[in-house]
Amino acid sequence: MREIRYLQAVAEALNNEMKISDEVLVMGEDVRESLRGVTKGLYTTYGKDRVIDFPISEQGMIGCGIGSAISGFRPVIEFQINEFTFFAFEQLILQSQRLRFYSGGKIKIPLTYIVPGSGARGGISGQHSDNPYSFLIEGGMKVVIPSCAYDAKGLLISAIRDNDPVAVFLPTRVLAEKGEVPEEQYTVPLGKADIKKTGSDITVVATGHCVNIALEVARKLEEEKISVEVFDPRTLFPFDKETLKESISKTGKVVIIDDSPVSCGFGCEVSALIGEEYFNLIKAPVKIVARADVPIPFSEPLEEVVLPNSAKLENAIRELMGRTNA
Amino acid sequence: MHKDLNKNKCLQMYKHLYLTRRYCEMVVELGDTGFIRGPLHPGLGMEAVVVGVLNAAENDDFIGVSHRGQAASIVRNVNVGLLFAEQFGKLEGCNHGRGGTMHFNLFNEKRVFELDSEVAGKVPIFTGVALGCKLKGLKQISVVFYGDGAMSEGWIYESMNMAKKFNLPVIFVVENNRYAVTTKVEYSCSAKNLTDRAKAFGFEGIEVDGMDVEKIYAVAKESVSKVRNGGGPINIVANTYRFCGHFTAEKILNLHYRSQEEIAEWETRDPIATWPQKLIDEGICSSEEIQSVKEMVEKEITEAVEFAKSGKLPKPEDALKDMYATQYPGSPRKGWF
Amino acid sequence: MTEQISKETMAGFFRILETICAAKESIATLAKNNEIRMQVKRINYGEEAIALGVCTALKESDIVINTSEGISSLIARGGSLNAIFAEIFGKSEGYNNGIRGSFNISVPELGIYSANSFSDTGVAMGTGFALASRLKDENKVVAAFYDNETVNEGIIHESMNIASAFDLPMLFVCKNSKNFKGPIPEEFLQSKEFGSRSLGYGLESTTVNGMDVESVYSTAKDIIKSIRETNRPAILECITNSCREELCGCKSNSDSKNVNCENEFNGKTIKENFSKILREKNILTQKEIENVQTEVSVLVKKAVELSKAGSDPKPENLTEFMYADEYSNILKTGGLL
Repeated sequence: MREIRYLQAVAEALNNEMKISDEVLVMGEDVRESLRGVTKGLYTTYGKDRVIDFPISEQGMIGCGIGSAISGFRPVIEFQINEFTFFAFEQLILQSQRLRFYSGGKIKIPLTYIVPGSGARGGISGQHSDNPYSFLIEGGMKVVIPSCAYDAKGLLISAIRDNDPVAVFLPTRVLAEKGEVPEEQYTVPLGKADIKKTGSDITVVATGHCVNIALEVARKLEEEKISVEVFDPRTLFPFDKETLKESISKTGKVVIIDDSPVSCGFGCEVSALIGEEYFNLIKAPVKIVARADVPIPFSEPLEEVVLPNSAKLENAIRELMGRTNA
Repeated sequence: MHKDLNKNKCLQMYKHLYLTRRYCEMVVELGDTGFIRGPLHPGLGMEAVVVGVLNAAENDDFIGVSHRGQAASIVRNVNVGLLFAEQFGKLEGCNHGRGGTMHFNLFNEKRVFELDSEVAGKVPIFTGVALGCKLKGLKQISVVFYGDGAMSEGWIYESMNMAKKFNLPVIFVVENNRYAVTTKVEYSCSAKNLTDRAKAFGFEGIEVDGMDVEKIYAVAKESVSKVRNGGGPINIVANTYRFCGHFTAEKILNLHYRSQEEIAEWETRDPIATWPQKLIDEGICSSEEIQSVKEMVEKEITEAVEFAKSGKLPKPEDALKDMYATQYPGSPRKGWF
Repeated sequence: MTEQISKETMAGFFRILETICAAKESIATLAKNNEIRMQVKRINYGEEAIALGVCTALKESDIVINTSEGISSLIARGGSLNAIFAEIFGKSEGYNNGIRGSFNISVPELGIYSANSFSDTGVAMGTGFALASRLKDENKVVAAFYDNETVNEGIIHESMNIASAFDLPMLFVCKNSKNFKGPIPEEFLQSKEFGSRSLGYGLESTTVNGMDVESVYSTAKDIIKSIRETNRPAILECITNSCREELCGCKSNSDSKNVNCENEFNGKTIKENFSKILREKNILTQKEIENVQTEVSVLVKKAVELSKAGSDPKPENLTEFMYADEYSNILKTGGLL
């Protein structure tokens, strides 16, 4: 099968969905020139009525997306920078996520929010390095974070076809990664996790680019006969707890590695779930390796310190396995 | 020419322009050679706006600038070594390597804050600074810079409304370089004239040629005086242009939103190239004096880069410092057990 | 006024107005007696003519974006009293299955949508409906209401800019009450100046007496026709003296039998003035007016009775209300269901 880059897979998914359905629109800032690469060529192919550049007005743009979605379109809204949640929380949660509920289920809002290049890119510090998905999950929004090219194409297609708002985070550190991707349109269903590597000693729940970190650590520890199972939720909400249960039943130990702040983050969510529903399946406390509760500092040594990485994950696994660095 | 613009003042302003230009060019070079991380946003071509306005304001007025506003620190006599060191992520940098290229915070020391990783967030903040000046009966004013793209943000509207209603001493300066990354101002701004936004709130909007530092100085001087004397807010729209891309990564992205002819046409109006000749022709200063300024700037840049290169990187333990003014045990959390 | 309003239309207006006023009085009584979960002080009087005039000037296929004074638009667009009261009682027979309650009700079949928050930022959503209509060539007009409380929000600015920049067929209706006090500082409440903000977007603004049904209707009809033909959005500023106890400080709504606001106008006055005009123009006699009042009163009573007997929404339906596409175990209920 051919191998293409993650970003290419995303662009292909979007292009093909636009071809299949006239309802799919693209909205964003600089989407016609495609600053982020996701929408490259779409303006030339589909024209100004389907690929719309907006003034720098995130709230206004999302509101416009909501109205268009209720009117029968499927807008895909691209956010140039990760911190859109903070600018536009009112429209994102109070309006797009809640309007259906308050209408008693009478309207549907099939919106897709894409965040290309989420997470720390290195050297862009405080305001361009966030992964604000925990805020969205708390608001009830569906969130997906594909870790590889195959998942990226399939999840984006599912997100566009879903009839509710879905936020799609495309981590910066995997955008250039290559992977096998079928040429046809296919879906990776929301709410379904994937075991990226089977193992029997410990389950590592990893999100986004942390899946690659987990795989790297797993390969290293394999040599010491520690068998790591890498669990990639793919959809953060709704979360596939059945697959997690199967994995924990096997291993009895869990480390979560996630690139968002530790407090009230996704790691806490999974940890609480395990503690409440799968307590009898675990043999040790759940460990979380996440970001420190500070904004990302600029200077390189500081930036690396506050982010989750392979050394921290390895330490967590060793501690749970009861062994030190042999 | 404004009566203030004697030889000394002109040479000083030329130094600010030239130092800013060389600083930005050096930053790009250092980015290309791996000393500075991340995409960089130089403002080549736009220097005259900040230089002209800050020279017209007083040194203790409060200034909020955009990501292309390094001229503000330079006009306020910040050693550019501190700026380079900050961009290198060194401890010696003006924010100890914490903020990087888009967050030069010299508010306490020099009343300048380059707060612009997101385009309009500083506008309500600096409107608030003006409120502070008014409530405390200070004679200082607040000047805030933002671009034509940022004009569409709702916070600008809210800030202008409050500035007018509370009669605040703030000057809103729009650096209209015609493009918000790739989006033309004619596309994104529905006002017939950019100054209409201020007029809609009932205060003055003045348009000025942003490539002519003398005109900017004159307009700014008059505005600063009116605002300081309790006349309420004023909006200055300076028409300028960036010769470089929105950011350094634009080279590889292959974007085609403007023509080479357009860029070349604006480059003929580059004040750093054209103003010295005008000064010489009018007998304000000599070509030797201009040359002397250039040499001084080159020396300053060289020393500043050396300073930055020899600086120290912060220690990892420093990563969690300075989050809170009032500390409590256990916060901020580390994130890894 | 470009054309005379027919007697039939005027008589129809009266019935709508009477229904709105009777409904509000009933709601105020129910609230005062704690029979519904609504606070008396939130009920608004004095904006009925605006909703009536604008909504009846629109076509059935047009869209209305409501504020929290939504009941006038609902009734003016032909909403069912039974469904409205059921919603206010929180019953599943209500327009939003009893989930929304209050006045921010969305009724897709009537083309009425309400935003969710207290600050009524549905204007942005309105741009989306207008855009969709343009893309599909449906020739709709979207009327989005906003008032003194929300006029200073940045999202109004962003929406007007987008509507103007993209030529979206929107009518922004500003309900400008001279009466608003309360938490909003005096400086922000000057009448007639909100329309002038249209200059910032290259838009036309018209001011009209919002207490006069005929003026609002005729003016709105002309503007809506123009919007439909040109796709250029416009602003209609309606000056009113609306009364809402929590903001205007009077106790008028507390005793619904004696709506006697110390301020000059309120809903009762709109109705009284309009009745006078109808009698003077021989459109309706006093007897006919009283007949309408009796009929409406019966309908309102019936709606209240039906609603009281209605059924509560089922908790099992919460998931379906939240998500259009379901996945297993998607809604966490905190262990409560």
